[in-house]
Amino acid sequence: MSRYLNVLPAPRTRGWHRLLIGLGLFLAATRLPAQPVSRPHVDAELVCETLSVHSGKPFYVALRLMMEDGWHTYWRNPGDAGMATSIEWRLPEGWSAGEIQWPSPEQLGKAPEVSYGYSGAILLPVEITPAAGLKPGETFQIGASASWLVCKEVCIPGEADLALRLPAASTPADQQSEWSRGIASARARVPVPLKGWSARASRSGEGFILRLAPSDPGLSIPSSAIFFAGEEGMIDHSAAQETARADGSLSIRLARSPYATAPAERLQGVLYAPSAWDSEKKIQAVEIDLPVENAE
Amino acid sequence: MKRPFHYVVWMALIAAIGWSAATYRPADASGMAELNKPAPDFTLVDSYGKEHKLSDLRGKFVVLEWLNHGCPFVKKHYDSKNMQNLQKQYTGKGVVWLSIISSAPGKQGYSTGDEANQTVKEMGAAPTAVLFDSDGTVGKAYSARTTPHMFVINPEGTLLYNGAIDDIRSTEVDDVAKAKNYVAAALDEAMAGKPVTVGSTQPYGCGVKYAD
Repeated sequence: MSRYLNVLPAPRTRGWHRLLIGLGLFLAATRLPAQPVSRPHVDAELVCETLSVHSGKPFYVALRLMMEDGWHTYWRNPGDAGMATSIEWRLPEGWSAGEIQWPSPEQLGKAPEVSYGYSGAILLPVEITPAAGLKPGETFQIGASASWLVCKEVCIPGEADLALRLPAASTPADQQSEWSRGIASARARVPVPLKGWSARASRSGEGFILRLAPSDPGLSIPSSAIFFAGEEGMIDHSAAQETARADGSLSIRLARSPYATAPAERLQGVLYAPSAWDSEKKIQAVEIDLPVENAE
Repeated sequence: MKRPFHYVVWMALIAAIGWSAATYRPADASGMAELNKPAPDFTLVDSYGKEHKLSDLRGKFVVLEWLNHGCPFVKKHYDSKNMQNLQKQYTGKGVVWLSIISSAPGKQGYSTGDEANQTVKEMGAAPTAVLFDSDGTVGKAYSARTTPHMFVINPEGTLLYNGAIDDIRSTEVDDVAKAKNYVAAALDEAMAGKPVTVGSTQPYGCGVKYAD
């Protein structure tokens, strides 16, 4: 028998030695991949804000990407070049995962090729909803197949299979993990609906003008703002966005995409102002989704 | 009533602002490559040292393929043999297929003539020629932003298609078979005398490696 099963110890080994080795092999096979996972120019990790889960109660996980200096990954609309990061989930029966909640991106590159993405380290939060009726103490595995494109001068596609194991909580209390603050701050950078401002988008020549005026008199007009188009083919990502402050409003000129074959009906994306849109100076990125009105 | 001087200055200023707002045109970011207009003419040298001038190709359909073999999006189309098959299929029908490398010296994709010829052999590629645009002049005239970035020009020299090679923005070889190929569609329609249904799409790929 030891002729064709060379990996197993010879039959004269004690039974309990073989049991230990077998157990070791079993554990190695069922271990979670060590995190973070190292890939060319980026390390990836799946982290969770909580140490345990409750039946039916949503919680946040995040894909953490740590990029080597000078390298970047992409936003949901990558812009002129690149490809958005994506995640495929493997969840227990009855669990569901939402879409990636994208923190507001940076502008990468310069004319004529401008893209939208992230450098340094980024957490991409996703809301997970467990099934109802979980047995306290039972553990569940959440798997994520993440794929991305990481670029500096050149681009390298990457992917990683990541997983987390979480027990169903035995007490009603929340058990925050070391990642709960990091995930909360990533979520705070996700654009929110515009409040306290009125916004209009209108056609102007071949492009658009986006105009915002505060409806709340306490709000001051940002000195600069950048519009990140939510979809490709709408605006020219690399054209300068002339901003002007006049008559108590902020106006931004956006050039039409050279690839648009018909005028866009809606202007959709994210408007980012370093000096913030709210009175507490916390909200820098707001969602824009407006019908495009014809020029006056 | 006599108007004070500063009033005149303000009126002139307001009039000037009003006039410039009324006549404002956003910069034509697409350079000279406008759909359904004459494609910008150019002369470039190929990997054998021979010159090719676009306007000498009147009477034929021309495809321009912006190329960088180091780019994973280009690799998707070459590893799957998609690009080579398109090149063979359409050059077989009399289309002139020009692969253009606008990478600056020292940047990814930049090749010597011998290197480019060797790569064509290794890949089984079948372009009519591989052209070098290392100072990026032609790339910028066409506002070529990615590799691949595809253009289709008709026998009259008019630009019929500008954009992505197909409709799945990924680096996955498996996506080639699932995608709608815009270049094949534009050529098939135009060669049958029909209008091109999809004239332009946002191209996808890696950025063209122009000089800094």
